[in-house]
Amino acid sequence: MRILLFCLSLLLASHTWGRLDQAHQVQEPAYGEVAYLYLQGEYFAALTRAQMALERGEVTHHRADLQVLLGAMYSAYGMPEDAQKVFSTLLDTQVSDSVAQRAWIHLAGLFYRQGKYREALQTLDEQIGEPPSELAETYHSLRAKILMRLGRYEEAAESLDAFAADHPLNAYLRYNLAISWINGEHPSLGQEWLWQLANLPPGEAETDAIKDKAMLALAIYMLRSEQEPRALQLLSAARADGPFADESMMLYARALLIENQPSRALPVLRRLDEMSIQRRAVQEAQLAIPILYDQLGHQSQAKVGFETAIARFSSLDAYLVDLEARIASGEWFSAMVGEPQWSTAMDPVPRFLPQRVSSFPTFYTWFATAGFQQGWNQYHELMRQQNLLALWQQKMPALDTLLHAQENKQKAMRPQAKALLKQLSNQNFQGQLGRLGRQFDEAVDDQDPLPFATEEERRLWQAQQEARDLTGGWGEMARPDMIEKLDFYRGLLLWEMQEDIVPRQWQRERELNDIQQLLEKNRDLRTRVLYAANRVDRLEHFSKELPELQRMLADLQQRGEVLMRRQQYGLQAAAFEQITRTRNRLKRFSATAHEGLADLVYRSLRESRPQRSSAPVPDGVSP
Amino acid sequence: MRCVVMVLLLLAFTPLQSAELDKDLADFKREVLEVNKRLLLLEEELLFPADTQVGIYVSLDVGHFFEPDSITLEMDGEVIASHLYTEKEVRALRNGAVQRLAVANVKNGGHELVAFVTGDGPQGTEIRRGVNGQFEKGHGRHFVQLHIEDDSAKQQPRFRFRDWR
Repeated sequence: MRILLFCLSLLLASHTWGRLDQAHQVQEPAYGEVAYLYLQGEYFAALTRAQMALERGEVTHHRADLQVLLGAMYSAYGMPEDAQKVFSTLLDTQVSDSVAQRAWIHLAGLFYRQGKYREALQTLDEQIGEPPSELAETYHSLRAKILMRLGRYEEAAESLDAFAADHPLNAYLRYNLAISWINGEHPSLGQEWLWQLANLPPGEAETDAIKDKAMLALAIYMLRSEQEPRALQLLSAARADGPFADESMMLYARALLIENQPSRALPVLRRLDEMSIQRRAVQEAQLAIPILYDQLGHQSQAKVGFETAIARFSSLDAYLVDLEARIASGEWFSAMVGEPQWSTAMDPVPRFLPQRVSSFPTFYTWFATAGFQQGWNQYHELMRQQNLLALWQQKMPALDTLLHAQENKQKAMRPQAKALLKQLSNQNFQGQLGRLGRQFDEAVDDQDPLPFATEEERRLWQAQQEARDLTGGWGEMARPDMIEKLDFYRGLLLWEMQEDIVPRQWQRERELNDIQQLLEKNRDLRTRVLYAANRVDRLEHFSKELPELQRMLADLQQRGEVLMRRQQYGLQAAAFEQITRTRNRLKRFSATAHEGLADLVYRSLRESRPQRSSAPVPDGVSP
Repeated sequence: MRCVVMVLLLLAFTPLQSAELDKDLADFKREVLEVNKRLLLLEEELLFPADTQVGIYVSLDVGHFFEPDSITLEMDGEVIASHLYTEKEVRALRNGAVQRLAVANVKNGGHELVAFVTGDGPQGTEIRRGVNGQFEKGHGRHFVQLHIEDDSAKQQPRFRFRDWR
């Protein structure tokens, strides 16, 4: 049940963003980038990127969406307090209905994970009401889970009916609810639901596993409710290679025995006996086989069976004692962890690889529990963070060098930059251009051709002006035709200059515009120089921050090591508990086997005593 | 003797300690996140100052006619990034997420981008396409998006670079 709920929470986490095949417009790259990491389950990298985006103010349009995502990630990443803080802050501000509904659903999910079921249900009922279509699945599955926890099964069933029957979540939730029905007030309804699940079309490993589990649960219910023939029929069709194969086979053998068919039960038990003795069902089979032989009157085989069982139990116990020692020394844990390979510090936690563990059959049911998976993931998360901190430690000298290089460059360039900026301000280019513009406007208004004259024309105009001044000085001595000639040339020059005055004005206007553009570029350059000159403040801040960060890294590495040890001890303690339980069971089984063997010998002795003269001793049983 | 002490220690690990461990882990994660954020900000500012930084992003809208397999990106004739897509990454892109393909330092002014994209088109046909684009780097950080979208009329994907401001 717990592992199913764990799977559910993982499935739910992947449904918090959106749905496939729906156009989704991301307007800010930082938000899209966070989503890219989040949708791949890389919560650590996504959380870091989200925090960077918020700190740098990279997100404005999607700010509220990003905060919902941040809260959801905190929640999924095992930081419930941070998640609650983000949601509470967000919901205290003015946000759109869609954002608020998502935030409330996540908050209710958080309450559910914290075991605050009433609070979670109240949040959903009071704040959401009717969920929007894109959130319906998340809403109804969460509501169904909460209602199941509160024992309100009828309402939970109604919630489950609200979303797609072929959804993988639906199968998990229906299984949980069916078990609740069976153990509660509606066993027949539970049986019906389990039957539907057991008859799902075969598909992926996940679907097949839930089919097997439903079949097993159904068979147990049938055996309990005296429907043995139906249980037998069901179990005979169970898979012999699935994750629940050993339990199914054991149950089948039990059902056959209940139905008084020991000869059919025996081959099933023998087949089960071929599996690893570390499995509980195999241990039971090991004990059941000689008892069955005894019942069938095959005392010699029963004796061999008891002896084999005792030997195998004893050898398993010796193995478990050795395993205990290896757990206590940490050797078992190291072997289980191995050396996970990460290409970068931001990679997700590697998957648990049970093939690596020789003691897998001893712990396989525990490995499948949410408790183990959570502890295992936490250990790897710590390991990944230690790896990340170590990488940063390695990078620190390079960062320090880079920072100093930039500081030195800044120190050398800053005076030059400041001098350049000062020189530029003294030139007052913009003011000069303004004056030129005004002169241009006046010349255009007055239709004065001189400002647009060529150099040659200016020289001629100047010479003509000087000649006029000179002849003016001669007074009456000046020849009249000379003055007329000068006037004629002046008129001719003016006419030439005015003939194409419009193209000349355009040309000048274009030149002024070009200068304006150059000045704008100049202004842009000045801004950049100014920014670069002032960047030294930021670099000074970094040079103070770097040693502080180095100290924090060292401190965190130490704390990380302690936490890893604590997490390791937690897992080792749980493994030790599993072994203690198995050893206690083995003691009981071994005692039963000894008892059975003793009883067998005693009976053979009793049988042989009065018949010593006539009857032979059974095969293999020595008096 | 050492083993016995160890076993006693292990058995002393109670559920109460487990809850305390969860809280300590959350505190630790919070601080690691904070330090990681600060270091990444510092590193990015030292390696890619805002004034010269350009980021190239990839987005997929909606992806009915194209599933990316690989992208090679060239800027001003030099390869600056190559990427092979995993199933998870394609799924994230289809859900509207955006991938930061590359970040680089460039001078102000005009630059040319060329992307070579391969992937599966409609009915599993292989698509290889080269995409050209230009951008004008100005003051401050600059973002360019390689946008892959569905062309419903042609039942084909359409690729283009565009500035993302």
